[in-house]
Amino acid sequence: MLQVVEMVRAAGVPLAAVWLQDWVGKRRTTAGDRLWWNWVLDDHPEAGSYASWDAMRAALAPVRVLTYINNFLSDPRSSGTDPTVAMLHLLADTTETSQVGRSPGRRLHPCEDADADRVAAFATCVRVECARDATSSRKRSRRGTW
Amino acid sequence: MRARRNLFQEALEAGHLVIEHGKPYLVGSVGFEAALLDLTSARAREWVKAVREHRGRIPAPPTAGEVGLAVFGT
Repeated sequence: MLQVVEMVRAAGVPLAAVWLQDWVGKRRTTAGDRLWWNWVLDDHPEAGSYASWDAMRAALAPVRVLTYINNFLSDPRSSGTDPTVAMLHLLADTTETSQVGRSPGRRLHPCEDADADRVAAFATCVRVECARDATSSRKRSRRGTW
Repeated sequence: MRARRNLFQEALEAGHLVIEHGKPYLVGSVGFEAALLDLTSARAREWVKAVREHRGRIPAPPTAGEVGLAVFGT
């Protein structure tokens, strides 16, 4: 981010502010990196995304820093990083919005409609798919966060 | 090292969350669930405004000068 600001400054482009969406830090899920919906600055001195937040702001001045919150609060004790669970959520979401597996009048949530063996087999497939997909998932995650 | 705040827990204890059947109403997102802040509550709105202003950090106690100014201003 600071390199981008330096490029912009060097090019003489007026710059009022930068928007740092990831100020709260990120968690890794199979759907890419997601923001922690716990609206606390991630300024842990060793592990934080912005360990030197105040120094960074001072260095950026007079460029201001914009951040972002939404109306949700997610308990940070629930890690949300179990790839199988994340993939099941993803499938349930896409099914409910009829993007895949549309079947009028019937919900296709795999946990509800399948018997235990099929759920276990499905979970195994998801784990294999997650492992195989890890590289492309990382590529996807670089496109941005939600 | 001060522990990071858990705003979900704070909001739950302060009654700032949307409640259904005695529990926080959780909305599924991709990979995790989240509770909804009750924006119909003026107290909840004030709370989240303070969170936003300090970016979730515990605000430093006011200096003596600021306290004096605040008292003088009222």
